[in-house]
Amino acid sequence: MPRQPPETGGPSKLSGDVKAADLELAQRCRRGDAGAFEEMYRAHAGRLYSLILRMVGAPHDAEDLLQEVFLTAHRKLGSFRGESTLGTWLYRLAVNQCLDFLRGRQNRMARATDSLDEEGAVEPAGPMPAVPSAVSRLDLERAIAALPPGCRTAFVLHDVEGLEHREIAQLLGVSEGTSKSQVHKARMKLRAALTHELAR
Amino acid sequence: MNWHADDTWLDDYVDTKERREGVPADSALSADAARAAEVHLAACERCRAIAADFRTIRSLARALEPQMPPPHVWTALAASFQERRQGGWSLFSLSPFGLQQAAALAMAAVLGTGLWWIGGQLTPAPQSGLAVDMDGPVMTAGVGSVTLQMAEEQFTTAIESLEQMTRARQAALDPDTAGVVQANLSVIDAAIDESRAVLRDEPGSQVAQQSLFEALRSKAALLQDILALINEMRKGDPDAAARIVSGLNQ
Repeated sequence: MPRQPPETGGPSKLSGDVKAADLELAQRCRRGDAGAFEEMYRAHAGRLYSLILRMVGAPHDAEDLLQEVFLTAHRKLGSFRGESTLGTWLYRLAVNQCLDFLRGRQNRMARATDSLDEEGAVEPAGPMPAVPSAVSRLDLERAIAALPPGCRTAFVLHDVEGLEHREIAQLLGVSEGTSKSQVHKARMKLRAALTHELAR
Repeated sequence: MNWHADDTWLDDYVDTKERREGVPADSALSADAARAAEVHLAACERCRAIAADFRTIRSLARALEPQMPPPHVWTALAASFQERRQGGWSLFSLSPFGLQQAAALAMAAVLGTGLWWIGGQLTPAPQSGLAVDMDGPVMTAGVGSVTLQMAEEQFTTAIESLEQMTRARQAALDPDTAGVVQANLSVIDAAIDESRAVLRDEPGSQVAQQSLFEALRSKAALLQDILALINEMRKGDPDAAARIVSGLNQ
């Protein structure tokens, strides 16, 4: 199912109805309306959880981060002005929470991502068998979870979430070239992992 | 162009091709560059294989379904929202990461106070000088009693923080576990009351002091275990929760 990437254009991209509905929902949440908070959660939790889980890899971290995103959203809803949809606003919040989390983990794990940046894409010597068409969704989910954090983030945002390199560069605070090279590394690693996994 | 020096053109090629087919994608190659790439791919099996695999991976990635969070995430979040709405103190509104940090801070205060008190007990009293010899026992008793009072106050404050965090979340415990927890807390509270009663009558009793601090330490450790248990249950890790419950039962 192709994803609809979050819109990055200005308010002109939003229909008046969506904007009004999102602003009203945000106001009801701010007033402490539990029903509105649940409505916001039910509407966006699935997409945000998928994004977070694929970015951080571990389900219990993803669950904690999802809670963190909604609690932070509730605290910051005052800054939501309807310039983007509520979904996009929450999406950015979730990406930033994930990046903070991954940076914290990176610091704890002795600058793992620095070494990743120097690491080239891997390609085994000799011809590789093609990625079999029988690769399942679960195989791919597992292979994505096993990617190093740097290229996993870029891959998830580009190939799974459908963002363009320009948007990823903005979100991650890197150049478009870095985004491209991380996606390339991720695809090469996935290619190796999927052919290896299914050849066993 | 050296096609094999840098393979990233293959990503551009795949994205460009998909965009032409109507799939949302970056379009990085000009028409001329795309044509040149096609010519190379027609002759190069290696690059053709990589491009085909990239397309398979992209197509699989696009087909990944959204994953729904487990129900307990909403349960915990709704509880936090409710507490916040009712104007609860910020500890009640702590996120899972904040909760762990706050519990760790409270526990650190407990341990720090305990070590400080134990250290005080192990410091030998000054031995030289007539005045010290004469006033020593009185002074030592006075300092000891002030030290004890301060240490006890710090312990109690830290334990209150842990109790507050536990109370806010104890609804997550099943009735049996909550019963075990309450029974253990009652035993420890009784020991604390008993030690305090003895210390009121005999402020210098080392045994009662020791017993009081043992009991306070046990209470802090138990509360810490309860918070860890609630956390594991919220994470949906039954094995870790079972290990903690087994510790509570001992």
